[in-house]
Amino acid sequence: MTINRRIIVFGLWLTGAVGCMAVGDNNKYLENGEPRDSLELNTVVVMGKSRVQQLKEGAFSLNAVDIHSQVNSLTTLADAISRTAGINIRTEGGLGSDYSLSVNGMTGNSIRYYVDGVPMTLRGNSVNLSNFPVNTIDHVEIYKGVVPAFLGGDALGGAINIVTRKEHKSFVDASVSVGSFHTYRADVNSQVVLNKKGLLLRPQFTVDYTKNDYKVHGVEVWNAGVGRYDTVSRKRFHDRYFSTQAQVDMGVEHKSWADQFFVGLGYSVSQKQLQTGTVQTIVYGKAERNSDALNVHATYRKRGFLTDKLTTLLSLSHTWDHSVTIDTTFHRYTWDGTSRLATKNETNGRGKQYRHYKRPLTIGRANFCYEFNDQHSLSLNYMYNRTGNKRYDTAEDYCAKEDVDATFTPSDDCIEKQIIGLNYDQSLLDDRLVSAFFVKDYINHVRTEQNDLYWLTHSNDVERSATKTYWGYGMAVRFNVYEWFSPKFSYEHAVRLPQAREQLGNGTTTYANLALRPETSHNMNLGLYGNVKLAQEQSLYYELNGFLRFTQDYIHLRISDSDGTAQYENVNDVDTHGLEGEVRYSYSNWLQVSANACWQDSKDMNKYLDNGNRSATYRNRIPNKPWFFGNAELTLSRHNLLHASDCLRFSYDYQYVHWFYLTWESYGYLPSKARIPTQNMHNASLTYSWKNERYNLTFMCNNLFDATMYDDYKLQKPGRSFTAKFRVYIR
Amino acid sequence: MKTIKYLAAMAAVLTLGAGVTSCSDDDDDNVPAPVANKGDYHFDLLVSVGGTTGMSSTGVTATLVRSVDIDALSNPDTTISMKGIGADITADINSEAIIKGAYYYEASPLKNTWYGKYQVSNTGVNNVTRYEFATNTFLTRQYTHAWTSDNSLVILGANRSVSRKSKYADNTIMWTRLADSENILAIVDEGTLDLTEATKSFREGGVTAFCTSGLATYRKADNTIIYAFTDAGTDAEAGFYIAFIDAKTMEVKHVCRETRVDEMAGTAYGELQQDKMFFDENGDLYIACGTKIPNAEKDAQQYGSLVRVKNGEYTTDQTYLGLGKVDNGKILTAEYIGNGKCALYVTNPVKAGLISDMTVYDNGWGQNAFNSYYYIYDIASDKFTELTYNGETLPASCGSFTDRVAVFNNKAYLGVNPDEAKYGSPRIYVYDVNTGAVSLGARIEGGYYFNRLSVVKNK
Repeated sequence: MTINRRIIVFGLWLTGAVGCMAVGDNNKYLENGEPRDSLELNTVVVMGKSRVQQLKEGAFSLNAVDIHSQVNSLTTLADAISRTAGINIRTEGGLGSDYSLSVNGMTGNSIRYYVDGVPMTLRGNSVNLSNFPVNTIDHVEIYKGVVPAFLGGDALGGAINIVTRKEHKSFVDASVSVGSFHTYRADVNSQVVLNKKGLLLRPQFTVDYTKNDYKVHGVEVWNAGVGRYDTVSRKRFHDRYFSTQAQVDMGVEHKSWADQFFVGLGYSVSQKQLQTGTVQTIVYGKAERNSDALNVHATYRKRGFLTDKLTTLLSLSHTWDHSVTIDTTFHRYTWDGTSRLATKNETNGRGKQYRHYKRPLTIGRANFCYEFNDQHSLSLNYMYNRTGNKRYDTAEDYCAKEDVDATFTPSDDCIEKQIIGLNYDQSLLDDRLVSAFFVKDYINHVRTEQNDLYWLTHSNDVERSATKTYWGYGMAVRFNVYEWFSPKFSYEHAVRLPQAREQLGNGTTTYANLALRPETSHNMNLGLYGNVKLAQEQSLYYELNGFLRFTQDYIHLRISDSDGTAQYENVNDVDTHGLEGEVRYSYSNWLQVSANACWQDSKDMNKYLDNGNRSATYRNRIPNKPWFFGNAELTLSRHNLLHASDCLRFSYDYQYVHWFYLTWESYGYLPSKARIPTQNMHNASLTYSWKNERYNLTFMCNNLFDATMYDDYKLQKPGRSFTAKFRVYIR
Repeated sequence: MKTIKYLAAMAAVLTLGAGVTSCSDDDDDNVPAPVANKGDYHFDLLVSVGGTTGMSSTGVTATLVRSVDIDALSNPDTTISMKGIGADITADINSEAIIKGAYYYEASPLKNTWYGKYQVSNTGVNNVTRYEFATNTFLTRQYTHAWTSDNSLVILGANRSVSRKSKYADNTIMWTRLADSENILAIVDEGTLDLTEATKSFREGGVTAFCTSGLATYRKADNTIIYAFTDAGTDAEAGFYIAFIDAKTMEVKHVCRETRVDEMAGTAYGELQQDKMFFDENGDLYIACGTKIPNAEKDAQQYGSLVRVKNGEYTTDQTYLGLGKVDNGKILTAEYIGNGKCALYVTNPVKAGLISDMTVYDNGWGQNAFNSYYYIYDIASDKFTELTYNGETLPASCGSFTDRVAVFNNKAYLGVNPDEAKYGSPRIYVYDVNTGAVSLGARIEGGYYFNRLSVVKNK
């Protein structure tokens, strides 16, 4: 159970003692979507469900994570999301490292990311779950498999919608943190009400810096004295990361012509040194990747647009995204930091590169929702998404002409998507039966120029300009039989168009694959959830969800161990089935215990090889994917410890990932096959807040027992780290 | 490269007292041992998952090695499986490793900077020893090699950035000599070959741009490394060069140029996985070559031929050009099997019925097409005979970067990787060198890319 923070504050103000449970009548909501609270002053029982709980009890299969209530003890948004049921995040290293998120067995890029319903990429390609400012977030919605049409995207495995805080008063929410591995972070999120006419200014600023100089274990360095390799632990020496984001939105709310109208300007910069390739033995010492992005955006929202029953949301944005991959040394590094001359660059074994990627991104979105009555509504969604990909190289300005990668030729590519969705929602039997039906039309236009490395990118095998159309559809239904027993089912025939990064490469170690086809999938979820009131102040929430994914042209990142490069490819047919569950117990407002686990099995269902012969991996489990993992969390809170308005909160969480094989598991002698070991990670945090959470001081320890943690390809992640964070929130 | 060289040395010792003298004193992999104790050896079968090895090996998601007894390949009722048995070498080494004696050798696997020695068995990979490169650093798959004795290995390759277009190239051929004992591998010395100076008599300024690896072998009779290479300059003319190098000093003694063909059959990967040249019993060296088919669309559309360097000579034998015919197809591997014969693996998409004209380029030439056949070539008669079983042509195989031929005790074991829908899973055919008879051998479980077959000494 997650409690809306404002309810708690209100209860505190009333009585000085708070007891709250999510056992309320979920029919009772205010017009603005906030829960209607029912207070009994004697027993102080707050009847109402948080927005997060409401979402969980919707027709769609999703996790809803209340970020606002745990913002003090969060370093990254990815940390919070990775602790939820069925979610596995593969990070390659420390802060700023590349990551891939898996929802119910569907991997990273089949998941789409949104901020308030608008694709997150508008903030720049360098903005992600690791550096998104947590102070600005209210909650996160994680849709599993079946994605509602209102998001307007082409997600296939799921979608993550970050919902930012909406407040109507001036406030400043600022935090600074200092942590291990020379990690420093600062966030400022604020809102200023400029005048009584409701003009709002929302400046945000975030800066992150880290050296990521954590130790990696079991690496080998040459001992020239004795002529052998010694296995040692060494600090990472080329993994510095710097990121800053600034954004200013200005607009008005609650006007006759607009419920909300905002225009904004954002800018982000990211500088990242690269330490390794896709495997631990490939060490870089000079290569880096930098990027900057400038965006302008506007959002308009109006309920009662043209007619009383029509709600309209319009948004338009453009982002000038520019990234540079710098790889201008002919040296090969080892883990002791030394290097020797080489004849090729570090990242992809070619000539020197100072490779620019300009990926201008235009996103337009329109959503029209017509409410026939309280029970029935119809919405039309349209999204336009255009990504350019202009590539050029200026390495000649930095190194000898003969060393420059002469295999490269500049190009200007473009991917254009249009997605039209029609969504019908109904709520029957006094909201006990909720359902949604939707259909989506995907129009994909790809224009490519690039022709270098054609044998890898297949540029000679594809049409230079092609437009294709795909259809998707689905439904979701939830029936609230009892408060403690509510089944829900959802289905979608989903289509996911390849992302620019997948089709056009990442500029360093991931090659383009212009022949990449869209993924399609039949996604099904069947779940049960319920709230059980155990006693006056005790409640239990449970959720059990089974899922099936029948995916064709599954897009999979294939790593080449031999040279550390990668490329996305279609694996013709992959079936995934799994089961996940979550149990959450709360006692009053001082104890919360939760645990979740997920078992999933993804199998290659591709019967034939390229040459027409049968595939040996048919019905084999897809390698490099955890198939059993779980989390457990304990949170203890003590209010009024030293003062009437303070709170001490202790949180402990444990993450488990069962071992899995690095390659296909059916072949070769199993005991000797490379595997990613079982991982156990323990984290703890202690937060002291005073003056009604105006001031908050947190001490965190991640990876308490300094276990060696790995990503899905056995890249090592940070060991034990300590972080101190101070946050101030002034309204 | 096959371990027959090792077998030859072993056999020479074993049969010295018996007066068997069929082996030449040239050091090459391809001179088969007359008799070896089959209990001392086994076959390794290398297969890949996800894609075939070679230039486009990025599709490979796993490489497996299955070791089987010598007799196992002769049994037509056997199907060799990889399920739950065999070594998954993906995280350790590549298929393109030198195989000699009981060991695998490879430069810079997984982009490391060492030269490594490994032992592979059905239970996994044992990392025997490694040695860090000094000045010269060789990359995986991009070098060639010659064993100058059982425990002395010379590797050679171009010190050229792949980024450099040939017109900018200013590279050299670097070499490194490694000493190999039981558990120690060490760099003895290293340097570069002065081939530019040595080729100035053939072209103005000499050759300054070299192919990635070239082909190397060792001629024991005069302690010479014979190194074939091509001019990779944009203004290079057809043909290739052969350098004769003093194996002790690594000085270039002589260079000759062969212009009757376009190039030798391997320029990029040496003989790490595929055999491209061989010595016969006379100590004469034969090099498989390719020449672009007239009017063909791409350089890769070639017909094959063989050139010869006679024992003790420092130039090619201009009186001999084996198989100089357009319709023979492109030679992918050449393996000496004894009795004056060699086994050739040849791509011929017209014969396979995939295209009607060898000058047309389409997927019929591709490595996933079933377009390649085995032939027995008789050197003395220049006769080129297609391998048949019961009077029928063996099924066409796919895989242009494969070598599925191994020779043991006067039998050649040839792996066919056919269209399984028509012919079933891959099959071994056994060719009796003495009688010419072909018999059915074992099958290999289907669904893999069958890339390599080697004889390996038991540890």
